[in-house]
Amino acid sequence: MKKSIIALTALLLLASCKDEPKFKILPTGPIKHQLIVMAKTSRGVRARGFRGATPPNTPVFVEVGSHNNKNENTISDAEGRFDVELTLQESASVGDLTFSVDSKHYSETYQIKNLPEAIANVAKKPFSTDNELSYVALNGSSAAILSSNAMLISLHNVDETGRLKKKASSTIGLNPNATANLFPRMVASKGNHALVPFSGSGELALLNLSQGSIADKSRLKDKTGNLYLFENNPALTVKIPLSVDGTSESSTSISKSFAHSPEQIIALDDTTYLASFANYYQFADHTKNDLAVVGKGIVALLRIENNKIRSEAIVELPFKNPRYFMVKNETEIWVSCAGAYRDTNTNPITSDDAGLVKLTLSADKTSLSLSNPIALVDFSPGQPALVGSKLVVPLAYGNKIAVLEENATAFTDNDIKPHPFHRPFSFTLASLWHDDLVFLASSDGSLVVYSLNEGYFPFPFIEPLMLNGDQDKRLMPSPEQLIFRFKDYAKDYQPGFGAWAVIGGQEKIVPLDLLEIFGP
Amino acid sequence: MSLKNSWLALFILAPQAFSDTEKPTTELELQENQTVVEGEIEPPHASSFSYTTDQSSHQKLSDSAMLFHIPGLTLTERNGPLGRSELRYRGLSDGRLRVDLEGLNLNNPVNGFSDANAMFLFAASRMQTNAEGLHISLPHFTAPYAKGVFGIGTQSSLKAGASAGAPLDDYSSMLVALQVSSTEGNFAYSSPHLDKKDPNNNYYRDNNDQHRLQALVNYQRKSPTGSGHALVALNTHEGGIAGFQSSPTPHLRSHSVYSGLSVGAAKKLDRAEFYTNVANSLFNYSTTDIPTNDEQFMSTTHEIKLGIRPLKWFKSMAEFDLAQQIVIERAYEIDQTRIGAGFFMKRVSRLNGRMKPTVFSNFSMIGYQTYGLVFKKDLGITIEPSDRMSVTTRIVRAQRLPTFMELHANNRFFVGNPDLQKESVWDIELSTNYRISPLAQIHVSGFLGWLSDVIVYVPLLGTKQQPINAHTARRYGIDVNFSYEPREWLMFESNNSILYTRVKASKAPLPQAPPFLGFSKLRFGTEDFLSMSLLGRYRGPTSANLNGTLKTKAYALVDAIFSACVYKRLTTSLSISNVFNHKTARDIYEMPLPGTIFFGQVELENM
Repeated sequence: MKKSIIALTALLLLASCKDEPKFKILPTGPIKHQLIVMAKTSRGVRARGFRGATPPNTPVFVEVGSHNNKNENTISDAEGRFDVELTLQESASVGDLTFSVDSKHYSETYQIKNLPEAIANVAKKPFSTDNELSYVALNGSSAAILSSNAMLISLHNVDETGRLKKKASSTIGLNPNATANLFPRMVASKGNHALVPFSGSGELALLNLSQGSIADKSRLKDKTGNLYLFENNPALTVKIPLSVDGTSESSTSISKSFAHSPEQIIALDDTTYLASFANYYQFADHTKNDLAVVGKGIVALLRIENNKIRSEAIVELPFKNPRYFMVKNETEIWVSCAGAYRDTNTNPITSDDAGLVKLTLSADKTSLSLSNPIALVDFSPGQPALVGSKLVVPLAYGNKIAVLEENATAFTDNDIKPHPFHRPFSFTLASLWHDDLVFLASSDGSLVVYSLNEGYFPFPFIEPLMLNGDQDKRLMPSPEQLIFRFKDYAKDYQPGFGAWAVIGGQEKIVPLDLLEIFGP
Repeated sequence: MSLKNSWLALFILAPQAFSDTEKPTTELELQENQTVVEGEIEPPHASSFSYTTDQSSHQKLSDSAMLFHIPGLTLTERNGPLGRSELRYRGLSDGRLRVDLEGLNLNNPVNGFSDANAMFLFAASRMQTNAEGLHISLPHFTAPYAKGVFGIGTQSSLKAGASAGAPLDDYSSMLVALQVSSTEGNFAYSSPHLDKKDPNNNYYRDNNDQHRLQALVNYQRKSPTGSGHALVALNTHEGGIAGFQSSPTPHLRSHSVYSGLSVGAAKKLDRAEFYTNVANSLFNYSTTDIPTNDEQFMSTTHEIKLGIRPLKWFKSMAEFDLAQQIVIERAYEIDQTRIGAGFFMKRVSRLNGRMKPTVFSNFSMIGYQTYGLVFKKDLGITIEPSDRMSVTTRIVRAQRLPTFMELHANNRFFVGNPDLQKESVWDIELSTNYRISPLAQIHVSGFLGWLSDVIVYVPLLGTKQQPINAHTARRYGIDVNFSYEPREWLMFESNNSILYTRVKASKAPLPQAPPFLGFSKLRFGTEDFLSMSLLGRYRGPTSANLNGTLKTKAYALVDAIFSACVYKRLTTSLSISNVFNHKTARDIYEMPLPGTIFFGQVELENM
């Protein structure tokens, strides 16, 4: 009886243990195993290292099999890449990789991965906070999470393995006066501040994170502190009269306007932010044959001073609906304008006046200038990625991407890279992982990898990475954000989740452990 | 003018008194002078739970509050008292739960919605739930009866109503009832995520005024050679939609009108009774906004039944009913009509034996041109192992067609799916009624259910939703009702439900299906003199989305009702909802329930 009680207690204790994933601990040293993969192929075994996997020009010895060994020598390129494929008649489960760096040999035994199985294991058990996950901004070891219906920013700690703490460390209410029609879109957070655009009221809210309060909230102002007023020329016509300049009566003719519909914000440093304004006056409604009416796209360079938002510079864009920023470096940022959506019931989405344009900040970050406008004709962009000097732009909810040079002057059919297998992907965003590999998120809940050099499904990402776990695939966990934890996967990596796929529609974050594919 | 005469002048004059009729029906003694005669009593199987309204049921601002007395029924308030409120039964939303008032269908075919505050509960005498639906019964009077009600409360809440019922002749009676109710609705609430002690965490709901009018006339005739009935029901609602804090505009308002007409007649011949019944419901829902962005949905349902009840054909069959049925549903704005025709059969057999077994079954098959056959099947047996106990086991198969919205909607937020299949439910129930003593009774019902082709809403193209059939879901649980009245001045009632649900596709519970839900009431004193009732309503943490990743926290709220009969038939009452001003409670995610609401009421009966 006593034994039974002890056994039962032990069983209960075991049952109460959390099902937490264990992460691979990689060997330290000059070899970056998080960028090296050894996996089965149709011909045998392939070992591959991506940029930064080894020091430049490192000799690599690959050996597979225990009896009839196969081996091959190679040397990594100047950026530390290598790629070897051994032909094998028989199956092998392990292989050895030996790297020679500065007369020292670093040898490691690798499990030879079965890639379909490994890819299927990348997506781990999702995080949720029991609240909405409308937008997630990582800020060091903290995540600022926007819950748009609860009108809340909650700060959650993120542990060293990239796991989100369920319980918030602090919360900030975004709507102390219970005002209607605010519609917070996202949150950008850096240091002690966060900025939230209210698409409905046209305001930006500055949050002081340490004080847990809204420090400032206002519409876009010009440098002199007056509300920024711009002109739509020719005037735009809407069906329902609006007052958009705060001074006149409601009218169906929109000429002068304050900046409306703040859309996207990025933090350039602790005090400098960029904010875009879409100026959406009327949404398209295909049931009434109403077209969208959208004003000029606007980008503002903002400075946080004494808990106030101050405008440093404002530019009006040649395209409409600026939705995404892509940071090249501290002073060069691309902005992608999705255009005025024609009909959001179509797949892919269609829009007018879409395009890409480069913003250049002065060295002292006080002025903005525009250059390199590229009109995207009949191509409504999803969230693009910048890979070196190339822009990878998914067709919103479409099955193809465009790859453009930064210095392109026009968008042509040659820039389009359709998906070769005609699979029903519906791309929404692109995000650079490492080297020339871009993850494309599809609204069906899959991630497809595209290589600038090899195209779709480069080794080892030979299959879509599914995010639905054991859920029915028809529930389609469409990723709205793909957040890679490490700016440089070669230098910054530490054991834990490598990325988060934020699935706002299902209020969850699917953490990704890419070491299911990579590493020993 | 005396108070009595004022009431008469203000409301409806009671018709001339007639003598009681002798009708072969079951009588439920509600109060001393209100004899309610139910025209049709369901078979005595214990899997249907019945709640007969008492005085306290009508002493709050919101009629829907009386639904808490039904175990397994979840009430979801979106806009506070008098706002549009949804019902769920054992985890299934109101689209899957047919609600009818004496045969009048109250479910809008556009969205399946049945507003719990627009079910004419103010005039109801009895509610009965089972896996097939919620049936609301009206009282029929064998003696003249009239009642007037007037109440006021915080937030400029107002309720005024009158009902009068009387027999018209030896075989017929009539009920006329009217109620208007209104509230400013700007009740207090707090964010559960912020510091409760923070003085800034104290909000008031704007654009939440609610105004309702409900009226009905019910005529019933039952003679030895036949019967007939006519029911006319009307309710209107107009109110603001405060919605979430990020609601689209501060001016969005909804307007809804329901009107129903049910007429029927039956003629008894030598060996059979032939009957016909026509029930028509019209729903109109519209919204207005500033700037103008108006929407309107109008729909109608028509149900025609032509049947026969054999009187002498089968000796062992206490009841046999066979009817042809035609159903016509139309949604006008989306220009869709569906017509179904089929038949309905009901059998009740009381067998011989020590445990008095009763076998009952219902079978309904309606064929639709596009959607195929829709079945409702029900088979059960009730036994009475002792005089105090009855046990019922029952198996139910029910199907529902997708709503018009689920099939054909096409707007900026929701896109219908014309390929949707009908959704089906299998339920197995085992329930018992046990009279512990003459003063205590318990009803326990366990159930096990499977849903196939369950319809769920999934995101589409980022900003919209679309319904799909997502394989199966299962649910099981237990509903318990316990009542104990050891003294005339002391009564305790408790309803509690435990529910487990799981949608296979999402590996998560059904949304808005609380795993634990309950209501308890403790009354001190007698209702016809002086009483105080304490009511507790409570529920466990509830999944608020299909994926189980959004949660509504648990809550427990306490209400109190003080009632005093101050002069003969004049009763005053004061209800305090949410006595402890718990302002962070929510029925569904981020839809706040009100803080404390005071409501005082005067009732005058039987003039």
